Amino acid sequence: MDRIDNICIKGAASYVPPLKRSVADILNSELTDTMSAMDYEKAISDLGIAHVHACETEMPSELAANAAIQALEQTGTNPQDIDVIADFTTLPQESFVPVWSLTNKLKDDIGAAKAFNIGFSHGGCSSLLVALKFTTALLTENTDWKTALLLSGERAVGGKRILNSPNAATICGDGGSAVVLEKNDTGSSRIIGTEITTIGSMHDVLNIPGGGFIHPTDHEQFKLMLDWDRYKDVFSQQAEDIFSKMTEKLLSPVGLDLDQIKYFICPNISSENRKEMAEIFNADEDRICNQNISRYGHIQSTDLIINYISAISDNRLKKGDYILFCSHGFGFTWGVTLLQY
Amino acid sequence: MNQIGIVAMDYFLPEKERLVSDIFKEEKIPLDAFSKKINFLKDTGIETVRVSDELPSELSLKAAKKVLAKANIAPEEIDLLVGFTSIPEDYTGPTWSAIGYVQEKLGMKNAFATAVNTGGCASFHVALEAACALMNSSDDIKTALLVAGDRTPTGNKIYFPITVTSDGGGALILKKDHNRGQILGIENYSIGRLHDVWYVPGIPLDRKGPVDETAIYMHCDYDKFNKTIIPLNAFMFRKIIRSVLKKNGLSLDDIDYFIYPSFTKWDQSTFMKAMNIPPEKIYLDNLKRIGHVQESDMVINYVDAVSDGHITEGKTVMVVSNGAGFFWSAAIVKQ
Repeated sequence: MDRIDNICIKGAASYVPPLKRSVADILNSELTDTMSAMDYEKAISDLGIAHVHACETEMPSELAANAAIQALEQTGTNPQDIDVIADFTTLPQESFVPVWSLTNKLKDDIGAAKAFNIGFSHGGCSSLLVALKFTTALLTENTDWKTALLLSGERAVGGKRILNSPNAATICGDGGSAVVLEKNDTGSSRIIGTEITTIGSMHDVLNIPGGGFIHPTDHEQFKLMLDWDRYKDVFSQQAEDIFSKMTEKLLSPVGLDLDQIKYFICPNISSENRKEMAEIFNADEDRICNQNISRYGHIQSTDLIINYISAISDNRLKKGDYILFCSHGFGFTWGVTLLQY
Repeated sequence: MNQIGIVAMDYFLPEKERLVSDIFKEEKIPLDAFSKKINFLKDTGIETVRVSDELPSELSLKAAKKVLAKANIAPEEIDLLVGFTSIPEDYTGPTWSAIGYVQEKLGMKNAFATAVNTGGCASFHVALEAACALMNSSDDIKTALLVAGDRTPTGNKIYFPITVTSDGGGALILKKDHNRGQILGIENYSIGRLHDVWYVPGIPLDRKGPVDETAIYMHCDYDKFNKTIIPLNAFMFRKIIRSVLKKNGLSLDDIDYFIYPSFTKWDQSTFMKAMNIPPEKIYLDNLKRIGHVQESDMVINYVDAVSDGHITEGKTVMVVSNGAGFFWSAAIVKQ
C-alpha cells in the first residue's frame, strides 16, 4: 500500500472534437470488402457504440489543452500554481514520443512555468492509473508541492478507428481529458491508493509497428494492431485472478471488500468487455458505468475520466461512497485505483 | 529524500566502432547554420563512436542484464522497472516501450514496469525523481531497476550542431535503505516554449504525404536553438545547480566530482568555464572514444569515473544534464 498524503481529485474535465462519425459509417468505410452483413450487425450490437467524435485537424496537444483549460477553470486553479504536469496519453502525438512530449508544449500554452513535467509510455488504458500512482507519490514526497495536472490527448492513428479489423474489438474515438489533483484539499474524491500489475510477455499484443525503428516509413502498419487471440487468452485466463489480487491488496488495508464499492469505472471498450468486467467485479448494472460507450466509443484512458465525470453529474455518488477505477491496457498493464467520493 | 541508494550502475556498448571522420563524409551537415567560431568537423572532440545492428530493446536488455549481474540481484527482486530511453524504440511510442520486453526476457515477474517519456537526455533525472518518489511512498517497492537503450538510425549519427551519437544502453538499480550511492536530491526544470527545438517528426498522424527514413531522424530548429538554448544554457545550469545545492544545504565547493553528458569538447569547456569547474573534477574521458549515448551518458560516465578512481566512497557527486523538451537537471549522489 502506498503512503499517500490527503490528495484529492479537485476537478476533472474532458473535451471531444465537434465532428461526429457514426459507427455504421466507420464500419462501411473501413470494412466493406471483408465483412458480411451478419458480421456487421453483430459488430454493432457487441460493441454497443453508436458514434464517436473525430478530429478533423486538431492535434493531440490541442485536445489535451482544451480539457486542461476546462479543468483549471472549473477548479479555480491558477496555472502558475501547478507543481506537476503528468501526461497519460497512450497514442502517438504530433511528434515522436519520447523525444517530444505534449507536456512541454502545454506547460508553455497554459502558463504552468514552474511545473515538473513527466509523461508515461506503455500503460495503454491504464496510463491514467500509472500517472495517478506516480503523481500522488510526487506530491506526497515533495512537501512544497501541492497541485498536479494530469492530462491526455488521443487521436486515432492514421484515421483508422477499428481495432482488430475485421472482427472489431472496439471503435476508437478522439478526445482529451484532464484531472486536477490537490494536496490537503476537500475536493470531490480522495485518492486512497493505486495498484498496478504488468505482464511483460504481452508487451507486443497491442502496438503500432509502423513509425518505430523496425518499420520507420511503413504507412500501412502505422495503426493500432491487436493480436486478438493472445489478448483473449490472457484476458480469459488471468484477468479475474489479477484484478482479484490487486483489489484485495488495495481494499484489505482499509477494511473494505468489493461489495462496499459503490461504483466501478472501466474503459469504454465494448459492451462485451463491459460485461466481462462486471462479472469479474461481481457488479450489477447500476454499479458499473455504461452510459458513455454508445456516444463516445473508446478514447483510451480518457474513458475513465469521462465516466468519472458522468458518475458525478448523473448523481450516482453520494458523499463517502467508494469508487474503483479498473483498467487493462497495452504493456500489458492492469490497474485499479480506489477513491472515496 | 535520503533513504534511497544506488546499488549498481552499468552499461552496454556494442563492440563495433566507427570513425567520426567517416561519418562526416556520409552525412549532410548544414555547417552554415552554426557559429562561425566553431569548426564542427574538427572540434567535436569525438574520434570514434559505437554502432549496433541490434534493436534498441536489445540494448536495454543487455544493459539491464549487466547491472543485475553486477549488483548480484535476482530479477524477481525487482519491484519497479522504469524505462528512460529518450529516442525512438522498436515500435511507436508512447503506445509501446521496450520496458515490457525487458520485463519478459529477464523474468521480472514481480515488477511494475513503466517508461518515462520526457526529459530527452535528462530523462535519467526525470526517471530518477519519479522512481525515488514512488519508492519513498510505497511500502511494496524496495528495489527498482531503471534502464535505457538507444540506437540512432544509419544516416542520423550526427546531431548537428551538438554531438555525434553512439549506440548503447545504461542501467542502474536503486534500493531503499541502502547506504551507498545515496541520492540526496534531484532537480528538474523545463522551459516549455522550447519543446520544438529538438524533435523526431515520425509518420504524420493523418498518414498524408510522403514519408522517408528521415521521419525517424532527430531534427533541430537551428535558428531557435541558436537564439534560445545557446544564450540560456549556462544561466539555466546555474539555476538548477544552485537550486539542488540550496535544498540540500550544500555549496558548489561541497561537490567533489561532476558527471556531465558527452556532447562535444566545446560544450564541456563552456560548462566547466561557466560553473568554474576544473577539469580534474569532471569526467571527460569518454567523449573522444564513445561520443554521446543520449541519457545513458550519465550512467556510462559515472561508472567509468568510479572504475578510474575519481569517485570513491564518501565523495559527493553532482550529475548534471540537459535534454530535449527543453530540460535542465541536476542530482546529488553521496557515493
